[in-house]
Amino acid sequence: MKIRIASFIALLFILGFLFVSILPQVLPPSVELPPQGEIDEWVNTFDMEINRLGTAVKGIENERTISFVKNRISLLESAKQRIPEWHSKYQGEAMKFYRYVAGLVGSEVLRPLSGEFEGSVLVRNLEIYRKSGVKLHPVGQPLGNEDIFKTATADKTSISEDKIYQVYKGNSYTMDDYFLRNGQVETGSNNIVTSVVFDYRAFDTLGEGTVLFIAVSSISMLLFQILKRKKKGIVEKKAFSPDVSRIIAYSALFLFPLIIVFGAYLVVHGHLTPGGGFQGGAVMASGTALILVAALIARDSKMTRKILSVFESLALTIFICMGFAGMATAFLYNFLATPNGAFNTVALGSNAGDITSAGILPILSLAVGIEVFCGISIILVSLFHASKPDKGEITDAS
Amino acid sequence: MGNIVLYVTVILLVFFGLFAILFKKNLIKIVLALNLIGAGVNLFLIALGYRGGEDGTAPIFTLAPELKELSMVLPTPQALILTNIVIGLATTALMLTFAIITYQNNKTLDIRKLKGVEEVEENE
Repeated sequence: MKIRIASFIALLFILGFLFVSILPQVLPPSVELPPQGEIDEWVNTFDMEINRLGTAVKGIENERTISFVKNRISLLESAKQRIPEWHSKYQGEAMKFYRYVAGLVGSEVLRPLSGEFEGSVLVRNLEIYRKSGVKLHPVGQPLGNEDIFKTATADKTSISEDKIYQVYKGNSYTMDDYFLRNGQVETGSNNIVTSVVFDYRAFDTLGEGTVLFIAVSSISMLLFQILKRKKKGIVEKKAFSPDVSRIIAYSALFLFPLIIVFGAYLVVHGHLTPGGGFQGGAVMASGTALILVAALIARDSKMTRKILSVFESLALTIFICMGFAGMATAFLYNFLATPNGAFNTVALGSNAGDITSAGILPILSLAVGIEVFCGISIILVSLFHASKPDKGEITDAS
Repeated sequence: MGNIVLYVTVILLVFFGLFAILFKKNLIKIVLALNLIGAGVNLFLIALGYRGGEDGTAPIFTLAPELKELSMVLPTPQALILTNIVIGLATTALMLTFAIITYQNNKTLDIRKLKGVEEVEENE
């Protein structure tokens, strides 16, 4: 008893420690205003860039380039004047935001002039953003830098900070934002969760399928003796026998096909609507549970389990084969999802989607769906039959 | 504030799960307690991955209302929880199998009466 209480207290301490360590993430971050020196520094940076551009313009003869650079100079100036405002508005994020604006402006300004600005802050920012691989378009609107400026300066008067900030927030470089923004383009799947499960983290899903497979195998092995013994002696309940209510039996017969169809719908439309292989497979397996409750698999579960295990192994094999099919690039590469191929017709943004989009995702989803359905069904059938009372133990049937 | 309620629920779920694991004697109840902890962890991840306030939408673009990209909840925690649910189901089934075998061998599910378990000192 003492040991248990001591371990309980220890675990409580661990839990409390975890909670305290998580608390800063949950609560809103405390805002620290940067010192005035930083603001001045950034104002100076902007000043310096404006001066550099001003001197660079003098050496250019092309009219369009000159107007382009002058336009950018005015943008930089208006941005410079608003730096204190940004500080009060976006406090904690102001620093990153400056970098972003500077990089954004710099990338546009300096593209035609690169070479003359070695060592410039803007060039450095530009390089940082180039290397970080940020794709400068929010979802649904493939935007280049130029378009971002068109969007941001739509009112023709100045940079609208809110819009740039929105674009900036959209481009903040986290994994989930990347998935949300590029998932449709790269995998063709409208359901980003499915694209994460079957494309970005497909190897993880393969491991998951393997875990399920191993669990099913070990359950079958562990229950082998018990199932063999049960098969011999006991009196089974039969469908349409007085033991099982007819209401239950007929309802199960009526509902089973509907459940299977709904599960199959979830599996096949996994890349378009909420659902996917795991969810659909679990729904289909609930049909098996219903059949078991109604005692429609009564006498011998061996054949059922054999057939199901064949399909389970087949599904896992299909998954691995699909992985090797894209081996020219990488294991589990989505080789069917090419921009103009037959399997990737999904448009950016919100749309109705297409059943043939998303490349190998529907195939993997189908394989996983079959595997989950068969695996959980084997588990259910085995446990159901193994937990039946032995022959001598049946005392009260009611 | 809604988040705080979720986190308190997570703490309660994990607390009750730990309590049941340590103080319950029935094997089935211990398995259920492990599931309870799993549910708490799943809820924790989902709550961490939620964003967008009241406008938060599922990360699915099929017939999505408008460009709600900025308020879509994070997809990766949901994918992880999908993994966790299936693996939790598999491990639960395995543990229940062990419970069945234990019952076959000992004719009891009380962990104090299992063969080979020595008497734990009960004197305080």
